[in-house]
Amino acid sequence: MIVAYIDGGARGNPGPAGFGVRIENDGGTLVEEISEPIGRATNNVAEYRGLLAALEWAKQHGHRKLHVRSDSQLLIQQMKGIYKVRSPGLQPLHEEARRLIADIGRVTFEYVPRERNAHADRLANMAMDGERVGRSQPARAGAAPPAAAGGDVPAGEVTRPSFPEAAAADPFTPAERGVRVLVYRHFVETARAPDIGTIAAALQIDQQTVIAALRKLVAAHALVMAPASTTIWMAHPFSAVPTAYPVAVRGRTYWANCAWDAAGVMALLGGGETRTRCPECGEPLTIAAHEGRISGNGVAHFAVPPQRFWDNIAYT
Amino acid sequence: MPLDQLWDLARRWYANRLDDGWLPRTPEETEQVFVSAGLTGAFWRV
Repeated sequence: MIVAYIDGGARGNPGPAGFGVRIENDGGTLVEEISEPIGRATNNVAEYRGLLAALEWAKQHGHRKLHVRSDSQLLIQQMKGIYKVRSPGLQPLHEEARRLIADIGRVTFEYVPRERNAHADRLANMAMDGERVGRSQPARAGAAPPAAAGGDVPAGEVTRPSFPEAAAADPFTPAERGVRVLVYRHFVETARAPDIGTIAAALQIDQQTVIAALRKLVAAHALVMAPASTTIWMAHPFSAVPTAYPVAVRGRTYWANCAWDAAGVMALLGGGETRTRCPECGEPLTIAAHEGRISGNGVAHFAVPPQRFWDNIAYT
Repeated sequence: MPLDQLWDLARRWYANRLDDGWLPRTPEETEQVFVSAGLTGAFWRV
């Protein structure tokens, strides 16, 4: 059976993106390699575009069976029907893959660790650097879908419908991005949240603009403000108010929202130490990070599944 | 969750939080972080 190794990625997420596909025959002999940049996109879009390229290749070459290997658990689990496809940007890609699979006949999926997907990973990295290998005709956004050209599209003349997530819209204005980064920089430098006046002065914008930007950032779960106020409460992993997770870093005490965030503070600041108590038994716990490694006693407990984190962000 | 896994999760989760170009994750991207940190159980579905 023909085996397709696929990989996709983006430098930044989203960022300049591309995918790689390596087609092998039964004995593992190379049949074809494809590397294709796709412009600015997310990692997951790039993974799916690699899958579509592999499926299109199999269809064009008359194969009735294909085995797909990928190191993306998400893509594999979604193609197996175990994970739902909720992202509006991925749904059309998923549906297109389903249509191609129906055309081909039998397509099976297998997760492989990244080290077993090294060739596709190499091709995807080439694509992210703007290098194209294989299919000679660039896929063009807005071009007619393959089905419109009939079943015998020659290799190298593949076109593809455009997908909204390929353009990956940035939901924030420059002012909102500026406010967010300023808030984080203030936390990093002082361990405390800036007030509205500080933000306005630093960015040389008026306070109403700051408040509007903060509300947008809160709606996007990028920040948390105290109820019925304009006081910044959390910029994960930082807390503006004392918590049970103080993190000492280079003589300054930061407040983290939970054990996960304490580790997050240490990750962002390049190390640190937190002394807390086990919420169950009251035993003292110390967690420290130094030179990229963590040490300490205890385990972290998650009381609420991620799907419900934002039901009550103060209790996760 | 063991501390090494917590550390791995926190580093992946907050990797680009200080960057100007940070964007909120889609549900798929969130699940991808959990899967990458070895968190594949039903509890971690988004």
